[in-house]
Amino acid sequence: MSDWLSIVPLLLVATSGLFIMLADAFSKEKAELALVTAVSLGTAGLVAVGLLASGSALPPLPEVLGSYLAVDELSLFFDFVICLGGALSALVAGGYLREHELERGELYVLIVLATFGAMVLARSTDLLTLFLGLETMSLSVYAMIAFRRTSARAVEGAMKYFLLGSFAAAILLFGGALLYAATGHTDFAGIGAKIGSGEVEPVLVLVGMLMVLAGLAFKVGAVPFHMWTPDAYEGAMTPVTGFMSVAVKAAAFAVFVRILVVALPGEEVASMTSGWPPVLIFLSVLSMVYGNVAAVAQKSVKRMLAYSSIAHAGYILLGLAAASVVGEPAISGVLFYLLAYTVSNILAFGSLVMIGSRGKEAVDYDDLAGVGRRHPYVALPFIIGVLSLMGFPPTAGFFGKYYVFNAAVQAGGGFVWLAVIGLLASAVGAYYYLRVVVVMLMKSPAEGQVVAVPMKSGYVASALAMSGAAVMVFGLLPSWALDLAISAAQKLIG
Amino acid sequence: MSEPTTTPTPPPPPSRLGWLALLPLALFALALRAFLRGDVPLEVRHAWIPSVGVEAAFRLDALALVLVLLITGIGTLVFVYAAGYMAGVKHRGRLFALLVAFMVAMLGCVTADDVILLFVFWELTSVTSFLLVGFKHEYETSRKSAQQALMITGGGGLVLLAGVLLLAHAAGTTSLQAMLASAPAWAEHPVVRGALTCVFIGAFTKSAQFPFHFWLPGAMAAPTPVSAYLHSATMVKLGVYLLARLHPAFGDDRFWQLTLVSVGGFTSVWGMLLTIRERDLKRILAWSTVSALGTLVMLIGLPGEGAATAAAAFLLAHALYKAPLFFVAGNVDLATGTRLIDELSGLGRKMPFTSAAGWIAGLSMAGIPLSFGYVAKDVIKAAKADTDLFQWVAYAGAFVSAASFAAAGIATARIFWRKRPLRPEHAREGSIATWLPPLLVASLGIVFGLFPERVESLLTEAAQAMGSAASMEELLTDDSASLSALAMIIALGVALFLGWDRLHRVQRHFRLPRVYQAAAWYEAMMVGIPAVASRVTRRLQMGHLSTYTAFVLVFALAALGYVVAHGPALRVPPFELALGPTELAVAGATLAILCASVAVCVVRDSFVMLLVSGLVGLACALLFLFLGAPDVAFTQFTVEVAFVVVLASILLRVRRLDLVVAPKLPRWHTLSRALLSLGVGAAVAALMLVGASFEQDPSLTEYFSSRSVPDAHGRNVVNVVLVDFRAVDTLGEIIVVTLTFIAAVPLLRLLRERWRGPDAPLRRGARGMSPKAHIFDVAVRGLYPILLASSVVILLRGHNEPGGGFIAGMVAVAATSMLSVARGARAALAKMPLGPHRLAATSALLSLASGLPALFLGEPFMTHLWGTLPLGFTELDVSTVLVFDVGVYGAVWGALGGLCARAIEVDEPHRDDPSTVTGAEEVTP
Amino acid sequence: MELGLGAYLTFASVLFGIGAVGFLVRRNALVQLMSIELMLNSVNVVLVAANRFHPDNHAGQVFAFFVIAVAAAEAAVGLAILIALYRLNRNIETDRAHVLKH
Repeated sequence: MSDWLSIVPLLLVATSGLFIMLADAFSKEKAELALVTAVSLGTAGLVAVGLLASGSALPPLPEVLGSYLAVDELSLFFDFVICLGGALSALVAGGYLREHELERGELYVLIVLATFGAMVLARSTDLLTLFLGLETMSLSVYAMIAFRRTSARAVEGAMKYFLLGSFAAAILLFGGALLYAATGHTDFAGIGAKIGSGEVEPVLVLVGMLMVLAGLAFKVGAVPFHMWTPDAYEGAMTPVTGFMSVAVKAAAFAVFVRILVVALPGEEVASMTSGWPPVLIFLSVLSMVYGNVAAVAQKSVKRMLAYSSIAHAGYILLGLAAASVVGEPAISGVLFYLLAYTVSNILAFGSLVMIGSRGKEAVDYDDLAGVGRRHPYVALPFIIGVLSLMGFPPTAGFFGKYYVFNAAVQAGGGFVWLAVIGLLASAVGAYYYLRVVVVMLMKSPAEGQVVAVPMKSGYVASALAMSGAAVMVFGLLPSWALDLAISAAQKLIG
Repeated sequence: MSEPTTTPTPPPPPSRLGWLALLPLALFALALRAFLRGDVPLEVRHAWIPSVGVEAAFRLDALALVLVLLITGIGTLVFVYAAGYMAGVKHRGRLFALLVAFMVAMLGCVTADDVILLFVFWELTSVTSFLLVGFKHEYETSRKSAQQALMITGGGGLVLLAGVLLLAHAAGTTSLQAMLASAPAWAEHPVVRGALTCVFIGAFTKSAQFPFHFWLPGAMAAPTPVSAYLHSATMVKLGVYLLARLHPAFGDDRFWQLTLVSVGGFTSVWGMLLTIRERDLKRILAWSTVSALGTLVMLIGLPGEGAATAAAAFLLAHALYKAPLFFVAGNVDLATGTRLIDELSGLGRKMPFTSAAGWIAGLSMAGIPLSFGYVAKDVIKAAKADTDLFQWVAYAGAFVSAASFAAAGIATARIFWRKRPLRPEHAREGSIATWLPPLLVASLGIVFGLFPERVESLLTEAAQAMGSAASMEELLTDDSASLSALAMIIALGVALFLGWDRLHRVQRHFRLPRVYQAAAWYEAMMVGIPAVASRVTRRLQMGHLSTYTAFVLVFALAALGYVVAHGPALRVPPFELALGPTELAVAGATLAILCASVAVCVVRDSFVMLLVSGLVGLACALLFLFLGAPDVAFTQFTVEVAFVVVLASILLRVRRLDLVVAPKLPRWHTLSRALLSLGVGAAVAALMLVGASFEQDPSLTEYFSSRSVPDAHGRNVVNVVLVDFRAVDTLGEIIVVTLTFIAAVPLLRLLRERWRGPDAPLRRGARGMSPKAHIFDVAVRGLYPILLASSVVILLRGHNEPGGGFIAGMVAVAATSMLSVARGARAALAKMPLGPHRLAATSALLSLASGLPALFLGEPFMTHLWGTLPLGFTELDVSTVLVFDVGVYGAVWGALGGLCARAIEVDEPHRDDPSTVTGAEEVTP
Repeated sequence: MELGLGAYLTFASVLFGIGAVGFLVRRNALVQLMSIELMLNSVNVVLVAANRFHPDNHAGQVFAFFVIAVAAAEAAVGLAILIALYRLNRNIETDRAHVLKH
């Protein structure tokens, strides 16, 4: 059994997925599925982080799996991040569904399956597993968005995301097929080795690479492949939006890292003149600027967070691009950023859920007016989450931003100015993040406006408590998590 | 400003929260003790984030000590004062808590010896000050100015982060001490200019320098203790502190000097000019604070030995007179309910202590000899005289001194001195907690004025920390020139004081155009950025999918174009066409595919289009067959069939619902349904016949033929790969398939329930079947078991010949689809063992379990076991692979079959039981 | 078989392009779904054709198999979403669904 040690988190999630599926199929009682889901995902996450922190050498997988799933610290790190996001989302969803009387068990099954897909995606070392993981995750998420099937918004969001997502998946697949045609390999290492040997048709490789990158850029919501993001985020139920913004994004970036480092490391494809770094820079600058500017215009907090997630994708892409020069510090920065982003985003979306109740969901800025004065204990987590997203010290988000931009500055040259552009763009971001704080603490609801009353839910409250604690702990004592990220990045680069 | 009350009531007793003052007092005593014992500089270091070299390092040197003493010393009195001032005010506990938090953040900021740590505390002061300014949030002005202060200082902080990062990059360390020590080595680094610009913006926003100066008077909406603490003595000095801290590294840099002197000098003059515009006592003080901060910034930028000493001295002096003046203004406000200087006069008799404090502080502010203000200004003058560069600075300084003399007069003489008329009548002194603190601080200003040597060592050391060596003593010159200059300034100041009201009236005629007002720029940005942003999103994010697609495609094409233009040249591969029968077939298939594909995009009728796209799929399957991939072809074939069937029945239904008035439709519809279902059966049957006759391309099997039979007992290479070498991937695929079911079925379910409503009668007509259709119905009933049986055959032989779990499952799916087209989903699903949901879940578990036996034999999971079962007439290979394949088969059949049936039957009334409505649906929000 | 890989790639690219254009120009969600199927078909053509030139481990064929299977699952979920859309809007014109914007 020790052969399987390194993918125990994955197996845990798969088994619990089947179990929850059966429980949903054979039983009428849906009440505690949220707790079961959260506990099993949480356990998987803890196992992953335990394996990671123990620092012991991981046994290789048996041959059937060896070349398709990675056995490394990076995967364990992402197992942790993704499971954390999934578990917290499940808790938030538990409270949400009950409050809004939407209790149907399949959402939890979908959450677990999407988490599973995300984990497979994050550990894939082969285009085939990449595709399987991607589709498992995406299909679950499409269905999660359309979960509230009588809502025109939900279905429209799901439709747009589904059609564009399938379109992007087709682009990614075609790119992958071209890479296969050029190299004869579907595994990243084989592709990388073959490209390195120079016996390949360069145009095929370049076009294939561009198409794969475009497909992944779509999944992370980078401009100009971002158009689905605000619509899908707004259409989905808030807990689902939270899940999408953390687990899906983390997994997509995980595979991004792996492809860039393992499959496309060589001089031919990683150079500033004709490789992926200029592509990433292009995506990154557009995303940072457009995401922040567009977020300013929003009246809906959910939509604002959607645009801000585009901006965050831009920051992370900048870190990835810097990895072509500095390597490990940039990648560990990206890893830490994703961890910080996960807990902060769950905190923000969870608080948004908590502030609303049946018949009156909190969605717009106006719904938040004066919440801080009426219900300070609900507003506080939201404020912490938003400040962390803004990169306000001493929260986790601040250090995430610091590491990523620091890595970019270390990369030197043009990256220094890119980092400055990023920080200036994030100063624009201060406008809309702080607006949340101002509205909650200072503004009074307009005359005759229906005031949002916070729901009472132990699930949501505990999710907020955990993610809030994580935001503060990773902010005040970032060393522990950062060291894990650094060791994962070092092992990946070798 | 509340209405004046006519009946005097005794002042409320000070709040007990005032005892919190003991906390800063203790800290003050500790800091003072450390200084007196010569423990300074004091260092505390802890590893914080060792991997990036950031330390929790604190260092208390003389420069920091000046600030620490101010923060704790004035902090003590602010707590005492707040106890009196806020007595009886609601939520005062929150104010005290925030004050404590703010004080901690300030102390952290000035003692931090790591730029990252400094930045952390810097931003904390921004957020606590926001909460303090907005304390009275029920007032609109209060909210607005809190927001303004936060936006400017918080946003400036982020720019500062960029500067700090760049500095750390240039210096190679985040430690302030190390940075300053190695400064000459990196001061020429190319990013330093950019870094300094960012640092300047950060410091200028915090210290209210032009053009960010306007937030400070706005922040006067804060309660007075807050104004006295944050906006005169401590927080606004942070920017100055940061500049002073960095001074040793850049003091000789021309860019540094020019920026600081011009911005600081301009701010100091401009702030004083704006003072004249105000009638509100607190705002007058605020503008004069802006001016003083400008002077400080300018002093830091001035080259020469004395400037640093002057800055340190003035920093202290300003805090010692401005804080008490704020207290005084607060007392006047409390006592009279107004802060407008036109409504106040002769308060001295009614408020003797407050008045005394005001007088003393005013003397210092005016720079009258014997006050510490005089000492400081004298030092400044000497420092300026040192500089040969900035002559105009001296003139500006003279004006600023005179104007601050006048402003001091306004803040004291005008409201306390004039005997008559006493306005307002009811004014009276507050509790001791409100008048003692200003009196104490202000007196300190006189004590230091009389005995400057008391603070000399401290200030000189602070100046040394800023990289300057001049001691205060050298700068204190009592020559006649300085006396005559003093006389001139006083004369000018008196003139300004006397002409204050007249100047105020005059300046009204000189309103600055809004273009030149920084505040107007801020307002425009606050309105403009959202406007521009919403214009951008309105243009780009219109909600149409086609726009989104166009975006993706345009950029994809641009990227491709870039590659073609700049990338390596495309080597055109040799294109030899040897015409054999296979090549002809391939060419025919490709041509057909292309034509049909174009047709898909062009044809308007969606039904025709679906059939054409089905043809494309089938042609592709054919192509795969020719290319030696029969398994892929098989799969493609079955999937395509199911896809077309399901889509066709949905299209038919959609069309019927849309064109429900068309009379002939039902019959056509029934007919087409019948044809469709027969077509399915025929296609699948044909497929099996064709597929069985094809062999795999022999060249492909070379690799596995040697390997797969011994290893995995199979001759069908692809299937062997699927179940054995890639078993776990196949497991993943099962999960995808099962997931599909879970994802899609709930979406379909609602349709049935909802359309049972108002338009149910419309569909009743469509239900009846014509006799002709009935014949097809019978045919389908016969075909169904045949298809199922063949699917089982495909399943069992899959290991050796084309086939296997997935394909067999798809054949079964096709059978179920066919049956549900002909007889309804309910009938079709009833024929499925266990029902779709449970069949899928159980089968998925079964295939997972098939890997378990290996574990008991010590083999890795998913290693399949083999045995042979003699059946008399033949031998059957029995293995866990078969179990695995059966699992795949069941999962595919259950999930996709159930799904197809439901999709086909969607919104159709049940044939058997029209009254099954289960569960209430949620209401659309 | 004397046809070079280039010929298959050219064919697949054209097919892919047709699919992409179809996805762009048509507004009917079902047609767009079919366009995606076309694009996936072209992917499979590349995979199966390239498999002939890299026959070491059958990666291309196996991949194609998965593409088909997963595409079927994708289409199923998509259909369900489109049906839900049709139920609410009474049409499946994708551009007529634009409640979510800006």
